[in-house]
Amino acid sequence: MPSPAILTEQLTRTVGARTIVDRIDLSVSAGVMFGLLGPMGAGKTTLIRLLLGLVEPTRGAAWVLGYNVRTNADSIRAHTGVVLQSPGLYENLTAFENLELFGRIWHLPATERNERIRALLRHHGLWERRNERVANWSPRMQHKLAILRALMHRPKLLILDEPTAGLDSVDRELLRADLTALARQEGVTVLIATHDPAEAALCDEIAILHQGRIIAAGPPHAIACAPAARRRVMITGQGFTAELVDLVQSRQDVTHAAIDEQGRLLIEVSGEAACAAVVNLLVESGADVDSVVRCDDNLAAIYRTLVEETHEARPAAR
Amino acid sequence: MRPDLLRDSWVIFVKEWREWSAASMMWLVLLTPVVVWGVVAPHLLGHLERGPLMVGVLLAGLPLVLSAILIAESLAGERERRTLETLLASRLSERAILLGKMSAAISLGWMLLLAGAMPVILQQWLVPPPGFESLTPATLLWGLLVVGAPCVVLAVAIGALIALYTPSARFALFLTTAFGSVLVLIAFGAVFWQPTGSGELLIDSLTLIGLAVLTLDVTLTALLLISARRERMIMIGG
Repeated sequence: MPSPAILTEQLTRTVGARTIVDRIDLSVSAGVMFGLLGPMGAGKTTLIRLLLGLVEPTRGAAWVLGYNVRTNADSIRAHTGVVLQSPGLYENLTAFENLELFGRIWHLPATERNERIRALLRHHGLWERRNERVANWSPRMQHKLAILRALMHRPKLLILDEPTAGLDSVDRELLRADLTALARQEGVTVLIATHDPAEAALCDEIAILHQGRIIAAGPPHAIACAPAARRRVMITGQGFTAELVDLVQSRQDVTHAAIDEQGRLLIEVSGEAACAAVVNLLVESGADVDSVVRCDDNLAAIYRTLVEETHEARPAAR
Repeated sequence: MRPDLLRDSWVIFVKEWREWSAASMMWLVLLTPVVVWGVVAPHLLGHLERGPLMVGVLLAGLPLVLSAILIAESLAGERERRTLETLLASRLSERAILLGKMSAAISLGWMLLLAGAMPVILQQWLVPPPGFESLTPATLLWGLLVVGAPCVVLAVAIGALIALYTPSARFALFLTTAFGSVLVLIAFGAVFWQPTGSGELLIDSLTLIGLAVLTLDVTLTALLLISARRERMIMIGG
């Protein structure tokens, strides 16, 4: 069995009394596109910095591409391409000069360097604009160039921290498509840190990070269907009285119940079985049920629910 | 010193110069005051009636402060623009980045020093003012080499140190400017109270000062390279 591209064991980073990354156990298989999903301040960037050896772990251990982050961070960085939150381009330099600089940093011989730059820029439609200063480029083009820069030395692992932050919706979609295509073409392991569930949904596997801890991990569709997650359900029909709402609310597996302005019953239940039980209860109590719609059958809603649950469970964690 | 360190420092050195070359306004801002001051300074000589060491302080002060500001901006500015973290996430070592940046700032500082000194050297060669005959162009060039050049290194090392230990580029620039100006004023005051001397005495004094500054340069640069850590350079708390 091939060794994972990233493996962490109880990886922890504390600063003073604050725990930024809290006992993370993570395994990312080689060749997959892995999403690290979490709200701002969840610890994603710190986790990336730990994996790159930019900061020291307080406790625990991590191996990236088989190298230990404490003892062999140089080797990790040598085989990894990184785009951090900002594109990190030299705006006074042209696109070509930016790539050339990193070609030199990676010790690519002049011929190979120039060929690689030409190939990357041509393939992604930027060759004609290679001699323009990147300061004049749109944020999407800058992000794209930053990703090309990270690919200059054909890394085994590509780490992207919030690659679509600051972009409008059209640019986001285009960049997502670029990213997916790049990952497939170059055949590298890709780690994307994002706060956007739609971006994470494109990945093969994801981990949801909140308050420094992983609260769920697996393929996006598996997390979206996780039975432990809370479900928001909308029930339409007649006879939803206040007494009935109280009755529903009194069940242990119902965390919330209310009637909206259109007379629909909105409930929040834990697990699949609870939903069926509530519908049974409504019918037995004399209400007419016309339809039952799950409102949160997607990653975004599950993510929100998981984050809310963790927040309620660990309010003083940070 | 590892060959990779030198090679990587050279990459950063070239990168710094490329960035500066692309910023045409920077040259105007840097060279104008230095050259203007270089022309004005010789006219002050006759009025100040102080020893020839004063010439050095008059000429070197501005390039020294500018060199310190340059390195502070280069380090703290890159940190704020998030380009430094990208460099640190690459295969480059912290030392290579620091050494490359410092050597680029030092080379620019030397260039500014020479640009500012040229008018005085020309004046001393063509029409030296009365009382300053001992200050030959050769003595001036010697002074530039043994005192001016190491002083630029010192200014850059101080600027780098300030940039590494201050949280923002603005604060680093403010602190560097203030610190550099105070040092130049102290040097100005110290030289102002010195008696005038002969040419030989001047050469000896310059050599001694140069050696002292060189020792400080080596100590401070070694300290910087030893203490340069990725966490420190990107000023990470979390």
